[in-house]
This record gives sequence, structure tokens and C-alpha cells, in this order.
Amino acid sequence: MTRLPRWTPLLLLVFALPTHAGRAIAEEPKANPPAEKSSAKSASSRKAPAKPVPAKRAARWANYKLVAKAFEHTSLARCTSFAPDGATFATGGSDRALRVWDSATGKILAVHQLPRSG
Amino acid sequence: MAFGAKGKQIFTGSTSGPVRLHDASSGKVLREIGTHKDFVHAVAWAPGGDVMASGSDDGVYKLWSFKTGTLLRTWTVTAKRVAHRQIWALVFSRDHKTLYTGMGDGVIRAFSVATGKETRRFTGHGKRVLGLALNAAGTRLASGSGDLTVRVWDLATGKQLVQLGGHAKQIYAVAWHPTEDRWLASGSYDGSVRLWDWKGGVPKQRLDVDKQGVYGLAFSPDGRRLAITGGSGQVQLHARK
Repeated sequence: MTRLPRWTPLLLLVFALPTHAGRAIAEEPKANPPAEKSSAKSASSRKAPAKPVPAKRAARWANYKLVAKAFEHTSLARCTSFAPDGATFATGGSDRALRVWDSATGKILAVHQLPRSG
Repeated sequence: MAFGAKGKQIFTGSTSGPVRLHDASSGKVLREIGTHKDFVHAVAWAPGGDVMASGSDDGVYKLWSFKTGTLLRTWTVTAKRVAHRQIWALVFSRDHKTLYTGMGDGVIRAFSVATGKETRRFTGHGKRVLGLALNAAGTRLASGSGDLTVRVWDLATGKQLVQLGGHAKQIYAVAWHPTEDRWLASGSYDGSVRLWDWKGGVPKQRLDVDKQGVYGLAFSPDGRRLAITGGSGQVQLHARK
């Protein structure tokens, strides 16, 4: 008895940026520190030996807090995805609208309304 | 045709079948890539990749080329029960060679992008698999299901590593934190988002979002923000320091 209503025009959406390619490939398989830091082979970084993740950091658990909420979609909001640069995110709803939002403020930036059919 | 386009685009599926590319800043439709004969619940586009995938309620998978806008490959998974054919979730492996899918029969399948052949199955979920997410390294897969559990799978061995229970209704979405591999988020029709320390099997934070259920969930690329969509049409943005 877990049937979805036959709503949902805009379903899953995915951002893609052709230039976003090598992110995963660039990540070395579990070398010491994360790959991002391996580029900084400065003397200063060599001073500090790679430590395991400090307990303090591990303990700094998620703790997400509400920044903004909006009720622009007039019916079920089915899906969301962030742009690869993180500046915006998009949502798709069964109101047949695709909405683009500002990631810093949660304010709406753009709406595209699909026609009723199609 | 946007061969080699550098701009961001959004790939969407819809109830009536068409799959489209939108401009990421205006949302406007740039192209209709093609169409399915049934409800499209899931689409995927590997970051930086050319291949886009879509799946519909009739068990039909389609792979499309972004560059050429053509249908590359299509295949069908059949099942006696109509509900078991439904394709609910799609995610590409980091090397873009494998497509992981969640279906109505509760099975997670891996397909070769090159051939469309099934290469592996992950079984365990008792009901449909509605959400899938890959960790940043691409070594593990998280799944959310109608059986009220979130499971984590090791992709090298195919083994289930962990099962997380707590949601009271089906789990529509899962998201893996991009920088903290231990953090996993799940969104459920019970209206809540839960943040898990999946390795410890411990729920760490609960956000009560929408009484009409949570359907969509995504972390920003830096992991500081969490976007959530709900059944009431609500969109919430959460942040951490």
C-alpha cells in the first residue's frame, strides 16, 4: 500500500557540468591526507605530520540549522540537486515547475513553468 | 546541439515521458532529448560525463549522449508485477562505466554502460528501492527503501555493510556527505530527514521538515548546505558552520 500518486511531472533532476569531470578521478585511493591538500607541498605542511582525523573534528557533528524555507512550489516538490559550483540548487515539482535557488540565502532566482501537457 | 558546451545544464524526466535539458540559470528548456512511454521517475548524469540515463515505470532504461543528443542504448527489465518493473533511482559510478539502479522489486542492479548488461545485484531490501547515493570515493552505495531501511553496500564485494532503521515511512531520498564519509542523510515520507553516522549505525540529527513527507535531498558540493524538498511543495535550505 505504498503507491505513489500519479502526480510528479518534473522528476529527478541532475546537474551536470561537462568541466566537472575529474573530481573523483583526482582522488587518490586513500593516500594519507585527502588529495586536495597534497597539492600544497609547502614546507609548512610538511612540518605537521599527517594525523588521523582529530577527535574534535569527528565530534563536530552535522548539526544543520534551517536557513530558509519557501513554499513556491504549489504541489509536491519531488527532487533537488546542487549545481557543481555550489552557488545554486534546483528543485522540480509536480506543479511542472523547475525552480532555481540561491544556495547562500535560499531565495528563488528563476522559475521555468512547463506547459500543462508534454 | 550543444557539443562541448561549458554551461551548466539540468537534465529532467517527467510524468508524461519526455526527458529534457534545461538551462541551469533560467530553468528554460534547451532541448528535449527524447521520450519514454511511461512515467520517468529517475534520471542520472555522471559529473563531467557525456552519458545521461533515464528510467521509466515500464522497466525501460535509456542512455543518451549529451554531445550528440542521441539514444545510445536501451534495455528493459521485465517482471511479472507491474510495480516491480518501476525504476526509481539511478546513479553512475565515478568512472561512468556502471549504472546502479533501484527498482520496484527491491533489487539494486548494476549495469554496464557499454553493453547494457546486468553485471551485479545487491539484494536485501524487502520493498522498492527509492533512493541511491554514492560516496565521494565511489566505493560505497547507500540505498533508501520502502522497507523503511537505509542500507550501505560495499561496491567491491557487493556485501551489505550496514542497515539503518528508524524511519516510520518509506525513504525516498538518500544523500552522502561529500567530504565526511561517515555522514549519510535520508529523507522519508514520515516527514523527517535523518543524519546518520552510518559506520556507527547511529542517528545523529533529525530534522522535522514536512508533514507531507520528504521527497528530495541534496548536499552542496562543500557539504555545508542541505537542500530538502517536501510533499507540501516546501523547499528548505539548511546549513552548518
